[in-house]
Amino acid sequence: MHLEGFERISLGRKAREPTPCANLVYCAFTNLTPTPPLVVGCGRQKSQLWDERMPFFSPSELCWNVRFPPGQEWIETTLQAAIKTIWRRAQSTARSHFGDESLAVEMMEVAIEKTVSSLSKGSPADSSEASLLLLRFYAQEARRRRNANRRLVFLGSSAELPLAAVQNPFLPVDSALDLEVILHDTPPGVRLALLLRHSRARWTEVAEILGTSAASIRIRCKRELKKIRQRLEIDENGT
Amino acid sequence: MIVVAVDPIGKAAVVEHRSFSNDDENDTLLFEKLQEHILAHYPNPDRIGCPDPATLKKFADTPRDVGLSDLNDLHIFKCAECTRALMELRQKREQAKEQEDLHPPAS
Repeated sequence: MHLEGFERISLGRKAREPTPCANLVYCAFTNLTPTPPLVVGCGRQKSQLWDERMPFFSPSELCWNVRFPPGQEWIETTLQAAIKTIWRRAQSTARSHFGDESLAVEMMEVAIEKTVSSLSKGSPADSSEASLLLLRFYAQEARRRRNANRRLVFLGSSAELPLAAVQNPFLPVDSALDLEVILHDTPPGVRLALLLRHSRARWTEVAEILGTSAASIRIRCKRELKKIRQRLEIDENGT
Repeated sequence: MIVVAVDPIGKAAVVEHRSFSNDDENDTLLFEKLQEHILAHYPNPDRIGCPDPATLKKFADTPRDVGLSDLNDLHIFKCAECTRALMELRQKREQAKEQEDLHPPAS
């Protein structure tokens, strides 16, 4: 057994069991049969893996639980080459389908088990054949999880989650783009006025600093204020 | 628009829901919402692109002396940390002003 990396991978294993988890309060399973459900947002596992920015798991780490049949040692070498080939793609699939790259570890473990079982029954295969087989089992596992996801009932909305639980790395970037678009063509005077007002200076103070009247500076900022209101999704009429 | 809410202990509370149509001449509601939005959506724990604390303090105390380039243009609109720092500086400044009004220095 490869003890190195045991803790990390074993977390992945545990995550398939419906263990109590603080971050699971927002979801529930409608189907309570013992089929292994997908655990969404398991805080410990997710944050640990996420914090490490999903390093490359070595093939031996991913194969930690696999018993290679005696006399068929070629499977281990071939499989490790196959894992190396498809790992990035597997991560990308997990990210695009589930929004969580860390799930790639769990899905890959399942795919590895199935691939080893399949390879041990057939004639020796090269790494490209093993890659295709592994990829097929990985896709199968991803489909199974997507179907399992459909049995989840989400209680409440994402707005009820604490901010820290939302770890979408693209979120700040998306938001930044929005405000940059809004204020893209804004003249420097208006930019400074908005910043001053944002720093809690009143319009009269802003006007005094910029050497103009409060009414004038408000009119100059009107277009941007309107856009910001729209961005904040609040109707000016309060509806 | 008035929204009546009942709290868990059964005591009725009246919450005034302000809309932009009721916003004051300083667009206070708009800027409060903007501030909340920035704090929620623009975390910058590594303080990437932030102006130095002295510049922020200067901007809070004597904004006339600080230019856009000192503030790294509109960076503050994209930085929860700078917004938070600015809020604190502004609050300190207001508290100091209040103290000064209560106890004016003897001339």
